[in-house]
Amino acid sequence: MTDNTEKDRELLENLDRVLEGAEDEITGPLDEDSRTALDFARKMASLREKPSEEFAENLKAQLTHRLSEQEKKEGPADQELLFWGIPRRRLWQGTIAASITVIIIAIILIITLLTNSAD
Amino acid sequence: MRFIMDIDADNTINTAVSDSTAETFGRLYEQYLPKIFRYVRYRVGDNDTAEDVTSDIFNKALTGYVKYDPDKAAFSTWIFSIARNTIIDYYRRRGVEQGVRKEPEQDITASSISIDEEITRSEEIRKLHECISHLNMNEQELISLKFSGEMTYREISRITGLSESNVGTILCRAIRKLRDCFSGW
Repeated sequence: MTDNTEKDRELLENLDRVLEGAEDEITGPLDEDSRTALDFARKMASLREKPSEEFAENLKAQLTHRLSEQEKKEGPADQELLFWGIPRRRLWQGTIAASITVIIIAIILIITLLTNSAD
Repeated sequence: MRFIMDIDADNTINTAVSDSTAETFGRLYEQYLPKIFRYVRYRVGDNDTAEDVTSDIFNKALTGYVKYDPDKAAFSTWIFSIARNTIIDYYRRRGVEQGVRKEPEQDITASSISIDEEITRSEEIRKLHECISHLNMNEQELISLKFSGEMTYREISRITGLSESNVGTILCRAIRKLRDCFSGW
């Protein structure tokens, strides 16, 4: 049982090396069972297939199109019109900017009035 | 904003989408398409179905990508989990037992290597798929994950819910079974 576990561990480590293309790092000596299993793993790795270029390009185009559509949909929702054609986000940002401006003008006005009255 | 997932210069589908999602997803697509396709190909057997299921997986991945959290799982674990569930759904929808279907004749017309070599390779691929179809579900699953995604035993363990030592034991058994099946053809 221990022998089998050890053999399996060695086979798995060597399988990783085969899949990584690190053949020169394969440890040995291997018994007949492990050697033939590893030979088969090499064969199986060599038979791995790739998707066709046509399929890869078509799917990429389809996904790109979907992403673009998704953005178009999200765009208008994000800038939902509130009233007078002003997008909600812009209106909200505009209100804050206007408030800050009014506060600054008020402070300047108060300082000017105080300075004048002191004179 | 910039163009990403560059399609050929003459392709009209070039579209502008934001950098963050599209550019990252585009890179992941290039990296994982071959792996996911191979995984599906091992599981469903024929090329056309593999392409349909692979498309389905990437569409699901794109839909779910906004919710993907890299702190919870590596991208490989995440997308292979989607792939695994999509294949389970595929067989469930068809009401057939999970497993590799018999390989149809291969199209060998477009190839850079010789016709003889291509015929031999096609025949070997057909034999391999036939042998995989004789494995049980766990064995098919582990062989597909290891040989397609080149995943670590820990990653496979996370996806399948099996312990790492079980993954190793089942994988070794599966390789030996396939070797015996393939050599006895």
